[in-house]
Amino acid sequence: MNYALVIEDDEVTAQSITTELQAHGFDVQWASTGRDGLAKAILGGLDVITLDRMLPDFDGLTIVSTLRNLGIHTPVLMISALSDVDERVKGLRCGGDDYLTKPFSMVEMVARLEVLLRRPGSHSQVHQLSVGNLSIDLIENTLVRCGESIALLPTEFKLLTYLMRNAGQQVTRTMLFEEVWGYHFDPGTNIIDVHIGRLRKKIEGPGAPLIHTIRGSGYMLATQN
Amino acid sequence: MPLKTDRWRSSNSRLIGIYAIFFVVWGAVLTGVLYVEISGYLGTVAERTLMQRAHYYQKIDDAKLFDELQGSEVYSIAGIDAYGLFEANGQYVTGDLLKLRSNLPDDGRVHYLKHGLRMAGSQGETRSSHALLQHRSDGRILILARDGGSISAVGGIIGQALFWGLSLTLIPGLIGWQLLRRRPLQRVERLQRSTESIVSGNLRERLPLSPRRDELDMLAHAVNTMLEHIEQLMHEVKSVCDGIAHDLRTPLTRLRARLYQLQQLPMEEAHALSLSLAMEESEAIMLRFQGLLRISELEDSRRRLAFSPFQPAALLQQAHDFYEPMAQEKHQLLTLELEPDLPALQGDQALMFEALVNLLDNAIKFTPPGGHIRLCAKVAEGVHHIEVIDNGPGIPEAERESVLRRLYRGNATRQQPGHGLGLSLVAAIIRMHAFNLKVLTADSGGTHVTIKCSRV
Repeated sequence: MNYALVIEDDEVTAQSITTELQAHGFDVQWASTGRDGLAKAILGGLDVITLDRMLPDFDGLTIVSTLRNLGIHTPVLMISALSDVDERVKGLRCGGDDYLTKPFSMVEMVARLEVLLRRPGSHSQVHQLSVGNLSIDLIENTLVRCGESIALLPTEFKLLTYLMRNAGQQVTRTMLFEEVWGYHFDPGTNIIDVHIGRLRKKIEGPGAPLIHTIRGSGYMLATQN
Repeated sequence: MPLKTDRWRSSNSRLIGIYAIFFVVWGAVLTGVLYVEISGYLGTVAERTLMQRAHYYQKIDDAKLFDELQGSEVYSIAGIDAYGLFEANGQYVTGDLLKLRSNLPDDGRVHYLKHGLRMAGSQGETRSSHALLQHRSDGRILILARDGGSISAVGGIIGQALFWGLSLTLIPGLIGWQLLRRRPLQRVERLQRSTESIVSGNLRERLPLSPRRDELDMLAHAVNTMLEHIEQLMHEVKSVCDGIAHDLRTPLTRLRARLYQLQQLPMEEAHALSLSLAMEESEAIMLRFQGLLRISELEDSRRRLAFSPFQPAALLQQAHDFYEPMAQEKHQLLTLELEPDLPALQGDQALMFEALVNLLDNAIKFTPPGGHIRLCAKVAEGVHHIEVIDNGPGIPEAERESVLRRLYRGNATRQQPGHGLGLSLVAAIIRMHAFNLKVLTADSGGTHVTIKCSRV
């Protein structure tokens, strides 16, 4: 069981976040003010926190930086009505782990939280990732399937790495775009699907597909559905 | 481009020039009048003196005339007053004048001879003079003359006065002009720089004022007051928009959450279909809403502070690689044409990438299968050009301006997916960079979008 804290002053939004997280097996607490949220976060025992950027009493930035100063490193997903790139940078600089702009889709939020939960302490210690018969070497930048090496373009390699790191986990198109291309805007069309399609052709042999499309939300790399 | 003025065209130079011409003409007229008046007066004086002498000699008996003339030399000024007595046949009898001049009219009145009479003792030169011819009763001819040199001298003096007067006024005037013209020009150039900064979106900038409070300051002050108003209005509009945006975000988030919750419940197929259509509509509203918000964000000039240098070649390469699979899927050819050694550009790379993505997306969307899309970067006439050229149907001339407006969708594009904000977003990004965006027709008849970036 994962424990989540939702710090959000809007009751309807908080409720739907809570419901959604509960449906994904989280144990959810809700705090409607910054003060209450900070108290609950300091108490500990949490796996992840969603934090509204603008609260009636505190700024979300103050809460996250207070937590970090206290040595509490629970992953924080900041949710904000401020979509400006500068605001995103500010949020992340204060110690937020990810940033989501209102209005957002529940699928996107859950996918991001799951990735935050799964994020190991440090990526760099992993040199090799394996899913099914696929295996990539992060130092040599090579991909091997059933002992046979497959050539990938740098972008495709990044894409596959991200999917393999989060194997069994749903990732959205926006997350892929942010992670692989490093830009924070909605590319709009089905361009990410085209890239995934190309990657699929290269890595999937006969048999069950590896990259699964999740309708309306994104993709998941998994050996079985 | 800002209008530069060369030194001769500044209003100061023109005014000083006009003033100098006026001064020269006025000086010339003044001295001319002086000359005419003075020489006229001197002429009259000479005439009267000659007439007096003539009347006097008229009354003298012919026999005594000789002695009288000799005696006059005692009181008349040598070299100024002169006489000559000649026989009726013109033969010299006595006096300083050696030769009878044929051009002196024989009417007993004073005449002015420019090339006057030759005097005894002179080396052949003649001088201008007033002269009078008198017939004596014994048939002899008496010529009385007075030197006109003083009149010529007056002319010379006045001419010299004019020359020195003008040169002593004009030379310091020109030096003063050279010194004076710089300061106003420098001020105007400062004003011009401030204006350029304001035009490129820095509405906080004000025109510089000097402590002199002169007419330039009056103008700058008026412009500053106007800018204050504009800034305030824009700020109000922006805060109203931000308020609306913020107030709409929460209900939109709620709407989406509620629809999503509903979707999780078991329901009949018909209901599920309507619900999924409602979800799609809410998605579309959100996309459009976010697009509009993004454009207003871009109009906030503070973002320019985050500008940094980036390599256009790397950016175009990335955009090309990002869209190449899409073009391939549509059986189109997407080529990248880069001039070697393109210099760096100053700007927000992420935003420029977004602009390119939108342009490429449009090009691929509207170019039929088999088409060719070119992404080019070059330096022409010292300016960076980034171009996206396709051989699709092109944009009709009448629609070229309106495609850059928010939410505009061309007649031919209404069936295509999209929210009509792509090109206006591109336009906002380009405007923010103070670059220039042009939609033209390609040689192939397709669309040719050019971004003219900053000077190299």
